[in-house]
Amino acid sequence: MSPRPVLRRLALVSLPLLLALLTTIFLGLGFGVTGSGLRAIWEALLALDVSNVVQQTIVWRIRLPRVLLAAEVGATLSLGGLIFQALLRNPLAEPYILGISGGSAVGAISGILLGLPRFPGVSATAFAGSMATLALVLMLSSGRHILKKDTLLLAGVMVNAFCSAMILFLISLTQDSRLHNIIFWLMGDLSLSDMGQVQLLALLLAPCFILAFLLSHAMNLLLMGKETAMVLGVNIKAVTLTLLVATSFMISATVAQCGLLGFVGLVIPHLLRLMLGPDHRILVPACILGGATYMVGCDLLARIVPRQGELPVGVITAMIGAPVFIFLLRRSGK
Amino acid sequence: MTPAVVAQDLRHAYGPETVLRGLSFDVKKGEFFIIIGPNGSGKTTLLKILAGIDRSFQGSVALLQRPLQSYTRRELARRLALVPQLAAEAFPFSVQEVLLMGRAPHMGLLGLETENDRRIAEQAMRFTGVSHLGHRTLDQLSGGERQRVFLARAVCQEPAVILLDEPTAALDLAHQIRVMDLMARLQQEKGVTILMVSHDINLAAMYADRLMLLKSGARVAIGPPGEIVTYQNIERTYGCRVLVGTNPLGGYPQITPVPGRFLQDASDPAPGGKLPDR
Repeated sequence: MSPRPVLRRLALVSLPLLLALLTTIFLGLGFGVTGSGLRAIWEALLALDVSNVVQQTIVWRIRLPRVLLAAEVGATLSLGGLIFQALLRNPLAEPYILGISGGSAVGAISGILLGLPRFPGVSATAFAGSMATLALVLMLSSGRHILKKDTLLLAGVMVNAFCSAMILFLISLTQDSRLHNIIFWLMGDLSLSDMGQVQLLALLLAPCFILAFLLSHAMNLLLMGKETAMVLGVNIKAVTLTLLVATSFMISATVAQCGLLGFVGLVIPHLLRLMLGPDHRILVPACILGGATYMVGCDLLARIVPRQGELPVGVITAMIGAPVFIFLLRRSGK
Repeated sequence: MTPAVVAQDLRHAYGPETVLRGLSFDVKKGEFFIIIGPNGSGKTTLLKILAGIDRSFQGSVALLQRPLQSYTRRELARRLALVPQLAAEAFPFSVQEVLLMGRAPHMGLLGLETENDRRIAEQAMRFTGVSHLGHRTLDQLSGGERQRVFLARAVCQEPAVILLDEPTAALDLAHQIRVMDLMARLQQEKGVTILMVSHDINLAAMYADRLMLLKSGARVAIGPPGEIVTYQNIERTYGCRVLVGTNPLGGYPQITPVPGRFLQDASDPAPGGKLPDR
């Protein structure tokens, strides 16, 4: 039997994206507040200069976990956007815009203030928060009219506003040193990362990614319409529920680790759809790799753009993402 | 002849609004069966029940001598295909991709096609005359072309029964005939049972083995077109005056709706009364 075209295309698309990701990761390791230069990093990576302990520590202990965390978060958020856009058949759906991220942030902050440990305590409250907002948004934009673009967005805006109020309220209750951390974390912060976090997150995310890929053909069929998907043999209730829960789970896991990062789930899936077409068997892996690359790049910018210190990476993603959102909104209105 | 579909005492309601009231009928294997009736008569609801989309009905439906509810979605998709009403929106999947989606019930979870699946898709494309469109995407096609692609997708499922929801409604004359001819060929050459909902009585009368006339969720008449398309039946069902003649092609009945200005009958006043003065 001749090779299947889909698999061949998947390889053709994944390889360059993987290369881009590795290059960006390499750059991410090379630049920072103590700019060590590419050559030194190369040496550190290959352990050529074992004597340079400071440099070894910076690259392996500080930058590597941060860069890997950025990759995980970017992959998750852009995959989350892709899945929401397919399930709701709405090109503007995105975890941040729908208020799902906000909901898990409320959950996470509650967990932090209750003095729970980051894992599993804060992750669990974040998951509860995201599921609650997801249910609320779907209910508000309710039942039969769920596919209506405007209702869904409006419901998301309202839920987001409510979540923001809740977050500010919770912050106002906080008087001690945790305040600065919470605010920085809210804007999307990747700086507080260690290898243990990275590994834990990888363990939580991997099953969700695999699940999304396994259901990618079902997502294709869903795009043809709910009834068509049913008649082509898709158990749409099971597929929808599985994907919604898995997506909320992985979003809340990343929010608990590094706060709110907006619009990643909008920019990357749209860019890739324009380039690669609507087949989710290609788009799911492409979004994982492309989203990871994008976030590592944004984090790099956040570290090297300011003259002193660094920006929260959420500032960069929002500054790129919000104009893209407006552009897409205008285009979809035509 | 064994029946392909047997429906008994079907009842269905959306909230307080009753859509089907105790409908019974059967469709024979390999039959071309068309359901006609005015808007709101329950045609589309009936089709959704038969397709396994709407499962909140009372009564019983058997497909190929097995209760409809006993099929899993996948089992059902291998026996029954639906050509839905033409939707305005379309995602940019290529025609080839859409046809291979029709193979989904025969493929694995990821929808990786085999040589056989590809051959069936190519045959379906040739059969419906969309081979030249293979690499175009859905959003680039006209309504008529898109409808033929969806017919081809249904053919790819290799079903025993094909359901069609007003497949000719948005099409021009040439495309209407083309779609109907394709269905007639499927019936004659492959023995596929065709069950169609239609608004076009004249077209239906030329193709159907039997017609069912539906009004307010109940059966008015069922039988061969010659017996069903009478002015009494049509007037009773649609509430408007028609003439019934004979189609010049042969024995098919043909209706002509009568415009209000030809009606002298005071007992049949035009609705709405007088237009306001300007």
